[in-house]
Amino acid sequence: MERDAVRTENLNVWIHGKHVLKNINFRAAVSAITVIMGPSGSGKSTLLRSINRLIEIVPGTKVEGKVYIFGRDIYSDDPYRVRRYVTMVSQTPNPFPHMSIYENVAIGPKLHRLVRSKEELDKIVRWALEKAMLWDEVKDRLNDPPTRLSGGQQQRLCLARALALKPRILLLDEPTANIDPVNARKIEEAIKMLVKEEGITVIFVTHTPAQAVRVADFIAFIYNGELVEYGPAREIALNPRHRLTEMYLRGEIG
Amino acid sequence: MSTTLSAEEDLRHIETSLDKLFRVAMESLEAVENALREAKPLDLSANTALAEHLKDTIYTEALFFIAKWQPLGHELLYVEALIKVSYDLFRITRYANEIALTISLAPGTRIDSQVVEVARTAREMVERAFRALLEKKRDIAKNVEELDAVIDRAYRAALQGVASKEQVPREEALACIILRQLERVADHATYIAREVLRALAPS
Repeated sequence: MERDAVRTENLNVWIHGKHVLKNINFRAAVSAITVIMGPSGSGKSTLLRSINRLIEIVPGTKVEGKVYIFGRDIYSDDPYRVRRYVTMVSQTPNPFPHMSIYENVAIGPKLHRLVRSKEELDKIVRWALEKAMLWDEVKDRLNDPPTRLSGGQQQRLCLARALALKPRILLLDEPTANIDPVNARKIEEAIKMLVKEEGITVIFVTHTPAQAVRVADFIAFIYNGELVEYGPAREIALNPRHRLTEMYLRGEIG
Repeated sequence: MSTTLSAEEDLRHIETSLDKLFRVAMESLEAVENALREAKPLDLSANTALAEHLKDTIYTEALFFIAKWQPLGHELLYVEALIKVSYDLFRITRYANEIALTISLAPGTRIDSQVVEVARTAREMVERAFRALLEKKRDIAKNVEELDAVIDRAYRAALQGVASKEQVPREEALACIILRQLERVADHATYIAREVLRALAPS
């Protein structure tokens, strides 16, 4: 059985001729939180987008190498099928403004025909909102537009939307970068609960070492498009092997 | 997988390791008391090795806790206290091992029953100091500090007894050495109590 939910082999990405990812051999353990840490422009988000093949929609992109999810090469698979079980939350909250809170969560299961009845859909919407720690705050106003929610609540709505597809892998691209600390902690807590209770595999991008250490089971440090170091969060935090990792943790490079 | 949900949960992990270390220290002190009472040889080297391993584990866990949660105020002092207490409990286990070695040098030698009493008091001090830490009770910690004086007096009296004689019987010499080691056990129990008084948030 595969111990890694995600594994890349010599992954290289060029965007408009620029070599953005260089021979990346990355892995993310099953039912754990792997944090991709690194400064802005280091290639973290590109790596994340290579895992659900969103990178292909960026014009001028060339991808080489392999990405395996549960042992299966996703670049020989249908990208839409991949994005059904590898869902993503991006940095800026982006709920669909023309839909209600309920519809924002329900749209995924409806489009992918995951449910057969309204009852099933209600159940999945409630489950996703509960897991995103938002249900109590919105249960009496599910028909409101998401624009009436705060930024932090909107981001948790996006998390619920990603969860409603019952993914096996959840990709989070700096999900707390644009929200207040209280909502940020709620999102961190919700993600840890998802791993613990639902066994979901999470890959979490951040540029903040403190958040990486707080959230991660494993940390991959990326610098200038290269995977510098990978290991258990405790090892990286207390005993990094690479000088660049040490310097990044101390805030000396960024 | 080791995903933990909160700082409290991680702190409980450290406290669980510390509790294991405390049990090793207490088991060692109880074994010493019995060996003194029955004048039987004793080997506590396995307990000492285990105590050292647990102490090292707690150091790493506590350091990682600080890196991960960046505690401030009394939470930071409390984590520091857990590190220091783990060292005290390790030292207590080592002193129990030293006593075991001393007893084993002269098997069958009857040690004065007053020494057994001091050993019991020292063990109670460790037990109370640790309880003060877990229950966050200042009054118990203060009581431990008071008991330290009792043990100090017993050791000084034995030392004076030995110093005043031209020739010292073997039992008395061994008793004096053991009392010195018990006095160190009591000192470490007192350090734990002082950590409790220092680290606890004002009520």
